[in-house]
Amino acid sequence: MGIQDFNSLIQNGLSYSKAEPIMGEMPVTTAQYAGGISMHRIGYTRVIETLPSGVISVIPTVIDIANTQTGLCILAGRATLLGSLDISGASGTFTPGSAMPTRTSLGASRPTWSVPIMEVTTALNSAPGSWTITYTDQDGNSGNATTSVGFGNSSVVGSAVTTTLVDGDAGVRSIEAASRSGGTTPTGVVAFYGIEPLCLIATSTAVVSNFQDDLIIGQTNMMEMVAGDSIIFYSIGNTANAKAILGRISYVGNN
Amino acid sequence: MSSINRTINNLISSNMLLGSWRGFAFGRISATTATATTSCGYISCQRIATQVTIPSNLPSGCNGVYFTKLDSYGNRTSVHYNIVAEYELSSLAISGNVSSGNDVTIPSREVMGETVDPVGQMFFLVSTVALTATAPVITITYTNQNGTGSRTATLTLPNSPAINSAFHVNPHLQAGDTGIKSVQSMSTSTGTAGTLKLYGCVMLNRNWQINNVINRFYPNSQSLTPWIMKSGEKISVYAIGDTASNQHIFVFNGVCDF
Repeated sequence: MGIQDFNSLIQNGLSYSKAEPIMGEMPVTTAQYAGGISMHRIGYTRVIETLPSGVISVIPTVIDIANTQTGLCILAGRATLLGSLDISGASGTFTPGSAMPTRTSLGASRPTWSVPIMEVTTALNSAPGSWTITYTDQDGNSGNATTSVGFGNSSVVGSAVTTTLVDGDAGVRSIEAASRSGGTTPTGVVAFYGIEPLCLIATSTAVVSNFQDDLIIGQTNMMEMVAGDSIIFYSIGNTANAKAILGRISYVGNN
Repeated sequence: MSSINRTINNLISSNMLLGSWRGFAFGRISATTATATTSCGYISCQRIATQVTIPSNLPSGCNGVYFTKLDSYGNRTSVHYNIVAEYELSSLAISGNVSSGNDVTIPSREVMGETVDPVGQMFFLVSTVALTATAPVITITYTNQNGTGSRTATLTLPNSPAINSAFHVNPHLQAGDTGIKSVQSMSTSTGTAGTLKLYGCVMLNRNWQINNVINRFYPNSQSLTPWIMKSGEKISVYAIGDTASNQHIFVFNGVCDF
């Protein structure tokens, strides 16, 4: 029987569960952007493994994080690659990705949407210029263009930032196009990710702290994940200094 | 009878059988907003310029959406982010001094099996179109929490409040009043441009942000009152204590309440 209540969650967990370490490093200072909320992709991705016969999905039950820097906030969630942009050439070359997935939500099939996160996947040169995206918004309206935002000069891999959507828009279903303008002989590649959030963990001003999101009793946010789904992590609010996080993610099977 | 998802089992069941509604949302303030004075709210406030609307087509028997998660982060320090259920109670076009959309109440809902006629907790007067340099005196005539009409609140706004400037009305309610059930009219003493709207808000969650760190309260497992939101109703965010441009993100998760 699948998970339907707390008892069956425990019963399913006894059949299949995992508690995996989260160990991610952010070895360098990343770019601080003026046009959005700066982030740093943590060097750890949890890819849901091939599940045993009879286990149709897994449900994350808890994520906890200890960090080595003050003022960190950790965003974790299931990632969708919305597209990528090679910034070289006249205006860059956009490669479309996937739209945010449709999920069963509140008893109906509904499209999901997300704040788009721009992440540097190949380091940028010293004068990379600016970028814009054209997107379909949370309500399905296409052709919305973001404000032009400057790339961080010499941004290292893992530098990430939100962008400025049209006033009133909360997120994007998909990215239709992306382009670069300006710069001097720009080089580098960026990816755009959408996130279905599991948690936004607040850490503290303590140098070493440990904070937890209980996804069952604390904040019931049960996300069914299948083999191949990726959980990625971003730190927010402190892009300076090398740092690392240590933690745990636990999940149980849904039979 | 509404269950208000009173047990963890109900939350798990609703989440697993029907699927939850989760999102990662963006909002911003694109320009400096007005500074409050003792005549207009005391504490400077902003209304983040994005609202999230509860979806339509909820399944039969679903009373609405109950949020189990509402966490936010903004790129400012020393700010309270109030995540609220927001209801427009009145509108005032400064040009012509035209008040409209009045006599609206927050829709009733079932709480613990009984239908209640709710009154908002916080009230904000928001410039949805920027005003000009006239320092208008705004008079709000309203029905209070007990159903007594012809009560008045008066605020003197600063010159030229930019779009999304929000003025906390509660300190200016008539003596003894704790809330506004509905608005009979709003008027201005002067001015030629701009629009003000009065919003009644119910607190869903509150995040205190200091030094780029969020501190938050869980809406379901701790002491905040569950608030079931209906299709078409809106979640909004108010930044308390700030006037600068900023960006804001928040994550949410809601389930059907039966």
